[in-house]
Amino acid sequence: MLSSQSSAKTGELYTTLVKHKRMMLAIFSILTAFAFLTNVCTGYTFINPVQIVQAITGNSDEGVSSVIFNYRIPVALAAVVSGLALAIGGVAIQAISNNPLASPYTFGIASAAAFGAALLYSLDISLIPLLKISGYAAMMNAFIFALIACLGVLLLSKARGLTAVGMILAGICISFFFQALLAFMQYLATQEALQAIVFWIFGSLYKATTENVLIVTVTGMGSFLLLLSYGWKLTAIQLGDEVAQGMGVNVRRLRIIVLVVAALTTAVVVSSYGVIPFICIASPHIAKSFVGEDVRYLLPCSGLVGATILSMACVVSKIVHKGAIMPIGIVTSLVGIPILLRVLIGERQ
Amino acid sequence: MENAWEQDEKGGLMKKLIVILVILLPFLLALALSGCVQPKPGETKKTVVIQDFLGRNVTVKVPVERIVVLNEIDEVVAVGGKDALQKIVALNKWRYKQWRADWWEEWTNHYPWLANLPDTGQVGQNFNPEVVINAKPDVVLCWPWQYYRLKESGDLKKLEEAGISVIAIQLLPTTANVTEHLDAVSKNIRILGVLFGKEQRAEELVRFYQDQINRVVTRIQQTEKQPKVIVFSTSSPWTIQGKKGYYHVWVTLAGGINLGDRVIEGSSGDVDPEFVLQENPDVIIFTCNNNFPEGIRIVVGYTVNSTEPAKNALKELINRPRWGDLQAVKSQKVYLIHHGFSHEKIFQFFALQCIAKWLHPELFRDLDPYKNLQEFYDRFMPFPLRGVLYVELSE
Amino acid sequence: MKVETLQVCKLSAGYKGKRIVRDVSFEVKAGEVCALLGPNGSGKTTILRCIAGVMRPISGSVLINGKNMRDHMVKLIGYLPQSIEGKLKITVIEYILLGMAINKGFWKVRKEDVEVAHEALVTLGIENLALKNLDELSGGQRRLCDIALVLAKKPEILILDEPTSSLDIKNSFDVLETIRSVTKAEKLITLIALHDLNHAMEFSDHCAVLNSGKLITFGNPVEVLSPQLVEKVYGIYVEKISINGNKRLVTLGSASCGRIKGIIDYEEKKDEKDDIAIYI
Repeated sequence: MLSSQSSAKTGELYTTLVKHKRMMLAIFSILTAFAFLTNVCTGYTFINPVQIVQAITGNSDEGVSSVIFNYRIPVALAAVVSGLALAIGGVAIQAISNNPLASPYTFGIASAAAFGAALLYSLDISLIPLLKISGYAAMMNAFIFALIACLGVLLLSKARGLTAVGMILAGICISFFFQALLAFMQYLATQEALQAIVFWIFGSLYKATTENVLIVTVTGMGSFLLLLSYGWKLTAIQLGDEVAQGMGVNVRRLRIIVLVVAALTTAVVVSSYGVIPFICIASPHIAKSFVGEDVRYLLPCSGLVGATILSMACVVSKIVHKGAIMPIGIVTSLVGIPILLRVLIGERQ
Repeated sequence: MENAWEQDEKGGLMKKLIVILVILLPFLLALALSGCVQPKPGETKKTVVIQDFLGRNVTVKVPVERIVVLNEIDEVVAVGGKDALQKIVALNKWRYKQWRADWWEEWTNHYPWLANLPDTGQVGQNFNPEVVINAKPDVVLCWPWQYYRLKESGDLKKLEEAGISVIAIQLLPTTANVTEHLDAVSKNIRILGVLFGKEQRAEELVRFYQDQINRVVTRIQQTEKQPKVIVFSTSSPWTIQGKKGYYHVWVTLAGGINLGDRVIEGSSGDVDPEFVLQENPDVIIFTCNNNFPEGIRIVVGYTVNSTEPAKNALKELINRPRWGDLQAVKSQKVYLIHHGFSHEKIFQFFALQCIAKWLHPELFRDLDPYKNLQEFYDRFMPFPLRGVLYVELSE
Repeated sequence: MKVETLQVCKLSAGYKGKRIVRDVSFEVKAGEVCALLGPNGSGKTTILRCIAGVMRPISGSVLINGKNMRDHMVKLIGYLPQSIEGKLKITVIEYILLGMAINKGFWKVRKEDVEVAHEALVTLGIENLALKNLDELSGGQRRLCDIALVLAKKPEILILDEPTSSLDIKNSFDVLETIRSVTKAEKLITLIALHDLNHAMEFSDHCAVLNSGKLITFGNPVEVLSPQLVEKVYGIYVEKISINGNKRLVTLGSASCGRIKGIIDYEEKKDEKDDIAIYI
């Protein structure tokens, strides 16, 4: 009797717990939608939501609707999908390396991508020569090198048995390697190429086109669903390899799959829009304080947090100095630093 | 009878005279020889104190025989003439090869021996002070930012200890006040004149430059129109010239309004695409360094013979949403110009004149910037001008 | 599929080529508790890890019902490692569900799953901890949760490496009793690594005594654990006594520390009676 009573109570409490998490997800979904809308509304001129609805339904004048469809919406969509993709990459890497400061960037993905672009601008080398004229050469170079970095991390960490620590060390090596190569490219570059490289590194959502938004969306969604299916295992792996293995998780295989998926997702974003810092690291931490560490909830929540932050950063970059666009990397860095500090200080407790 | 003492005295005096003569002989010889060596007219070596662009007082023996050029050699040759070229003992080859490859090609085509000169390296990158010291120059020419770098790194001290003077010059247009600008440019050119003992030629050059600038500035008074202009870079889609950019000076002097002035505080930065649509500029200029988002593509420069590549590039560049409705695009007032002719050059008047012509075509119907540049080359440069340096959208 | 027997056949295992365990063979049947005994470093953990599938042996095999079932082992096994260091910001009930989800392969948590998890907590008497965060628990409470996790998976083979470490006297007893009754009730195969020899005598049907990686003896602990064996394997002096018919071992001294006085008196009086008060 007592047992079934307490069982019912536990059941209730558990349901409350789950409801709380679901509510958090709902709230963040609304926040993301709101941030997206704000992003679409802000710009050199403020377009109020009513006008946006009119534009979508085809009831507004050409000028306004063209601005909305050609500039505002692609950039705002890019902010949402990139924020999501970067955030879930961050969750994935943090889980498999069991380290709160790990991210696809610290694994060298971003430096490798930047190097790929620099290779094109400095030495005019395109890994897929046909793409040179299409304007996708830099993006392709960046993407391919990001995957090479991922492969490098895998091979190097295999030497250490694909442990969490092994991956981090391998990631650091690869990161330094590509940073050195990048510096070398800058050394060889013409003055203008240097400018192009720096501009590329800085990251800009204004490179958004229908194509790259679609690519990022598809990749992001695909990775999200795959990683979500591994939700329990990614939570378990943070308890330690032995424990996770004892539970039945094939830790080696999981690490490989998750690394490749995270690298792919990040590579697509970085090669399309450049390096946008801090979303990878900050989003999971913010989300954790709302939904805990169950990856089944952490993953979507982080994604939404990332989308919101990046959308708001985009808004800030547009209004800081009307008429000019502040590089988005600067805004996300300014937001990200206090968050990281909070994480570091929080850990000490 | 003669005094024996007197006889001795006479002999002693003789001896003394001989001794004195012997002692004085080298001095006499020196005097005689120096009298024979007549200095060529105008090349009397003298020590002067030059005030460089940074206001430093530098003591130099002029005319200089050996010079190291850390910036660019066009001005040296423009003022000093062909023989000034011979006086270059080392230069910043690295910068030429990396950042001005087509100009370097032109120079070495005409003067292959330039390629064999020692390379000092670029200041702040791979600069090697030993190369400079070994070349034993009388003076080193550089830009102000290079001077500061040399000072920071301690290389300046090394050069000064080796007895080498460093002179900083700058021709960058920083102010839209014509008088100030002309003053600044003239001052720097005159420094070169003193250095090479070619004060007269320097004056000619200064007058030529002033004249070219004035051809625009004086006539501008005749119109009240001030077309709105935006100057884009070609390497990144939304980067434009701002308040402190050199194009800002040219556009202002050419009687236009640089819209970038309103939104970009620095010399360049990213503009909000909507700003462009909203402000609807009358003229759009692309300043091209042969660098595009998809990589390097040579469309303007000495080595380009056809306007096709540049025109195609221009067509691609204006292919942006809603740009078909822009005033500039509709009236085909979209232009592309070589980036290198716009700043830090004695022939930068070319940029000003092109812009003036594009902004006020009726007013400057008779102005031919290319011809003026050609004249400059014929008079002051050791090889003729060639190549496509700008294009317009219209045929 | 019901597990009837588990056979360890000539198992040799180690790390980086060094053999820790040499040629160990024994068999456990369904419904039996087998205790692994031996001093530190004798290979208990290594053997358990091999059986759990967490480690690959250098040679030999583990057979279930006579067949090598490496791939299916995962679903059948509930493995409790010696220590779980990982920290996670989740509640106890979610922790239990985590173990269940990975084992059973479900993604969404249903009401029935929560009930099963709750039951496991009840079995160990920690149902009041259900909504507490893992990092708020004491070492012993955490250990109880870990055991609950293993039980909640409803495995056919229980592999527990020192389950009583960090548990107090009462909890140690209760936990081992629970394990024994569950093993009997569900006809599980249970292997436990233990340090306390009396626990082994009380709760296990067989024991495998290891020393330096070799199997010294296998059998009923009450019979097998003699003072001579214990002195040889552990290097401590014990005396086997009988209390109300239950045989127990009492530690009297250690080879390095020397014998404790009073044993001589006992030696004399030993022959007089069977049940006797304990002389220390």
